[in-house]
Amino acid sequence: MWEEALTVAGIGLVNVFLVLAILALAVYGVGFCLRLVQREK
Amino acid sequence: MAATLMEFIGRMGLVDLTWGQVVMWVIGLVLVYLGIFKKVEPLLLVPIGFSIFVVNFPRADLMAPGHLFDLFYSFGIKTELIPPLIFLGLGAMTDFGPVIANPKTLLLGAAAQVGVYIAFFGALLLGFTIPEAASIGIIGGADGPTTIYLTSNLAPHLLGVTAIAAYSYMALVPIIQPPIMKALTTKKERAMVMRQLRPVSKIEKIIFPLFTCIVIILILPEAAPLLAMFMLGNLFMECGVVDRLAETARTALMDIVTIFLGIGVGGTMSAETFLRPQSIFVFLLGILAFAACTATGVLIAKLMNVFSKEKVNPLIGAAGVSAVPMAARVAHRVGAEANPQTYLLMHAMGPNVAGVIGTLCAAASFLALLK
Repeated sequence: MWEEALTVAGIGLVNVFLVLAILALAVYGVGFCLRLVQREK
Repeated sequence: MAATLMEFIGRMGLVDLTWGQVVMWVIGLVLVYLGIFKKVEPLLLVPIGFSIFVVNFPRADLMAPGHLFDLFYSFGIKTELIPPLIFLGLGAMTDFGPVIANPKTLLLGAAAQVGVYIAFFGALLLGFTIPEAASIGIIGGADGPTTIYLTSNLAPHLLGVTAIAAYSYMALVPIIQPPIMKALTTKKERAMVMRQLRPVSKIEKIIFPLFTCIVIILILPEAAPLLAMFMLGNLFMECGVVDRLAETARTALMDIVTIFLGIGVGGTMSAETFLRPQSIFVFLLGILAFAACTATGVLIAKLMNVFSKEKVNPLIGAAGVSAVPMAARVAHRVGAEANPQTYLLMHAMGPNVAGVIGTLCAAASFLALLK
């Protein structure tokens, strides 16, 4: 049981950080591009 | 006539009343009291408490299959309909501006979820099964609908107790969090003033829900029901052309589903299912989960400061639990106590709304691996 629990917790925690880190990068990227476009205008 | 009278008396509920049911009345009425007189999450605790009270009348059979309260439970919670509808309303109330202005705070929303896994292992040590432990751990995220959604999927027999623990601890944020925040930070750290957030354009706010769906649902499809509704509600609010829908989602619809949710959750709490040592363990583990989430949020904010050029006040890490906006207000208040010039409310709203997404991702991960 403990092996399964460790797997569930490990994958889950990595997943949470990974998803939110990718989202953070995406938000940075989109924000940066939009501001660039606005400056060009 | 005597026989009819005896039969009538024999049919009275009073004949079958048990001590357990009386204890459940007391528990239900205490929740109603807390809601009405102490203003502890009244919108939830009043219907839940009253529902607990009335389902514990012998022979009333409100929760018997096909009967009134069972319909609320079966069609609202078992079918997973109500939590996503609540998320629709929450989305229509949530301003993601602070997250968009400072995306780093999304990591603080993730950081606070470490506590979920600490409580998960605590529950396993106390003899709970893995699905039960997941349902208990998620209480630490302080997100009622997510807790209900996950528990109804993984451990429906714990639904009542986990839901009440989640909502009670959400209401106790101003009491539970400050001592932990103060213990883990110095006065100098708490007094740190953060730079004002940049203004966020309307187009960024419209793109955010769409982008969030793409990123999260592609990686974690199990998050789709809650996340899609959350982001739809947010899109209603931010796009500015469907104000009526946004207004309905955050007011009338939210109120209706809250009533159904309260009745359905309270209805699951019969004396036989609730009066067990397991329930006390769930409450104890719930507070451990909540405290651990607060602590890990603060500690990881401090860790981020080691590597980051632009420092954050570590108090905002505690707002990574999802109790919106209470946790952000608490971070602001504790910061202002250390330095009246410190204005953390908007900064703390970033991790706070990120915490909702983080808890949702933690729940979706559990579902992906355990369902």
